[in-house]
Amino acid sequence: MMDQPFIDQVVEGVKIYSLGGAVLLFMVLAGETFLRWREGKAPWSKEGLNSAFTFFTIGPFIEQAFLNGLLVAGLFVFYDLTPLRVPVTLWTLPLYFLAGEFAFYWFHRLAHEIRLLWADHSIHHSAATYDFTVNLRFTPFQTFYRLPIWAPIVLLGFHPLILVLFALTAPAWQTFCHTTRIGRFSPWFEWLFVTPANHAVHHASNPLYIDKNYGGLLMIWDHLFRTYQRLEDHTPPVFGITHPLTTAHPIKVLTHEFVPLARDLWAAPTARQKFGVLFGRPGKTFELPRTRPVPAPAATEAGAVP
Amino acid sequence: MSSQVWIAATLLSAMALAASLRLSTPVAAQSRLGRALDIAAHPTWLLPLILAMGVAVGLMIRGDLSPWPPEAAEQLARRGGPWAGATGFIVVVIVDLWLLWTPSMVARRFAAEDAREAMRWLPALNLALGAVLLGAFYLAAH
Repeated sequence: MMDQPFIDQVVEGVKIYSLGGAVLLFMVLAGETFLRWREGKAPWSKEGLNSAFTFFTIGPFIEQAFLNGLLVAGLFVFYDLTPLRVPVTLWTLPLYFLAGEFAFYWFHRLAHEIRLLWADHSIHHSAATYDFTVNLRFTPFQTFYRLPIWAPIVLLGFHPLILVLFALTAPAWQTFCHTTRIGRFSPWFEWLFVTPANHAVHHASNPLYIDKNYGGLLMIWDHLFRTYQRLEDHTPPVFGITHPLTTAHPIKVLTHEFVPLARDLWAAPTARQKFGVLFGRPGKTFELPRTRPVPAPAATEAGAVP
Repeated sequence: MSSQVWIAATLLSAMALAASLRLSTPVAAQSRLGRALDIAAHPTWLLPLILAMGVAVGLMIRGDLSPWPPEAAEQLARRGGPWAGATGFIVVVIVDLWLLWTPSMVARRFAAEDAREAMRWLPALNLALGAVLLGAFYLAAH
């Protein structure tokens, strides 16, 4: 294949970039731990510990070693079905970058707006704190629903490997946005890029902020599809989910939305409602009352984003 | 890559260095430096670092790029000529700065009044962590 040497170079470049990114993640986690200790808090919150030693050890290793390979292989099935081809050259890389951002946007948006997918993605959002350890709060099934969501983009002729690499790598920028320790950026920058403030909106459960700011590195797709919301000074973000967790037990964190989903699916009286429970929008489907009284959403430890 | 591309990269990285130096110096970060300097050291120029930091640190871990700027300049000059060397020198200075110092200054700048005390030793931690990492990278490169 004509593109192959260049594809190999891009893959190598992304590997190098990921390696560097891992070191930078280590640095910000070390800083977070140090500052928590200096602030008189436990160096790692219970949530943070569970994230690090449960989710982080399970998720990325399985995903990197196995699932991403399967995802690319699965997408190649669709690539082979289409006569369209977007060549992989230096000049088309910006297009691949935008396609990767587009792929990430829709994967992320559907993970919030389809209840079955939200049951998985809500694990990442269930932390009531908003600091660098939230990066480690991994969701185990995301690779499975990336396949059908990204298949249409591959059918347009985008090379699956490069698309997946871009769709997974550019949003890694968000790693450095899970923090309340950095203030606001210039308005134009916040309009265009994911920033700590933009991403704080995404992690907030205030009605104004819910289901907003899905972008990976850029906010352009949020502007285009009208899901952008800036952080308003009059509404400090309340982090977490609308049904807050009352435990940090890892199994309960992993299953906290799957259990009510299964219960509602079982109880839904009609096939249409059962379908809605799986594929409808969270909060808008047939739902039994939650057995436990819902406590008020916990405020962030560090308070609002400055 | 042609020398024109490397010249552009050198200019861009010089701007990123100016912006990094400004952020690393609390007084400069919060005051106006004059029109020309304000433009040259505007945080916008940090944008390429989203890509460059990860790549440079990744190359350093693999021992393919020295964390010592003159050595990095030599390595890149051998591959791409003098402008590549100049870019390498500046990028490595930026990476060193960000690993050793700048994040602690950024965190201190944005810290709320009641969180300032907790930040007092952050620069020391930043220096220590950065020095360990850069030391390891230096050993990897030799």
